[in-house]
Amino acid sequence: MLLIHCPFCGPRSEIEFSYGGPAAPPRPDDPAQLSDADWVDWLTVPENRIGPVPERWCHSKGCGAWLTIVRDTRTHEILEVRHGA
Amino acid sequence: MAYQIRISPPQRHTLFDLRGTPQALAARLQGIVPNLPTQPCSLVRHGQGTLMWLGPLRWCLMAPPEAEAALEAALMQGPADHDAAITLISDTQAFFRISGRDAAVAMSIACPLDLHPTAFGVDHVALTDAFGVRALVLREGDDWILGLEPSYAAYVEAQLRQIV
Repeated sequence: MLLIHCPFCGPRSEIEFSYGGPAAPPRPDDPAQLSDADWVDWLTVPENRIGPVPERWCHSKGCGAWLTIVRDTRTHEILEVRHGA
Repeated sequence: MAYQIRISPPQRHTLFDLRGTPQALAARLQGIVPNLPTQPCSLVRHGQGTLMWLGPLRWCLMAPPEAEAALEAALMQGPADHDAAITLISDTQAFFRISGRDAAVAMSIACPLDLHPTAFGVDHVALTDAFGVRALVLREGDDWILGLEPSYAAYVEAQLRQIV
């Protein structure tokens, strides 16, 4: 069970949060300029590295804020929590 | 050993959902609540009203049922505001009052919050989970107020009575 430090509410149980997937890199400014392979890569291929990974979580049963969390996939240690993207 | 807990029947309160910037809401609440809460997950009381700060841009005003008409008239007057939205949501929440010597034990079984007085003192309020349902928890003296969507009230009451 993760204990996530919501910037507004303080430390809260993972039960109160909904996982929103990996935090994708910023959307390309002009997708029309990308190759099909690059567009598919940005759209559908998340990073799956071992170690610190940025993820989106929504405090859905708490304050409702969307958070970006950097979680170490080896230890589940949460290294950073911030509001928004 | 049985726990000593009293659970009130579910009650309806006047409830307004307030969203927007603190400046815009403070202007709309003039004459009703003098100040917004200054700490997250805290509240201020004024007259019959209790104003709770529940999210970065979200507040909730609670009052007795008989105050609904007067509050609605006061809050809804004037033109719509881009920076503040106020919605009457009294019918969306049912409230239990949980009291008795072991009320805190029952609440700590119901929800995942740290309810130790140093972490969740009197007049602390939070949105959380209670038996899998989104719930509002408020500590009022030695009593606890548990608010949730009315269609879950019978289920949550049954879960609470199982603790007893």
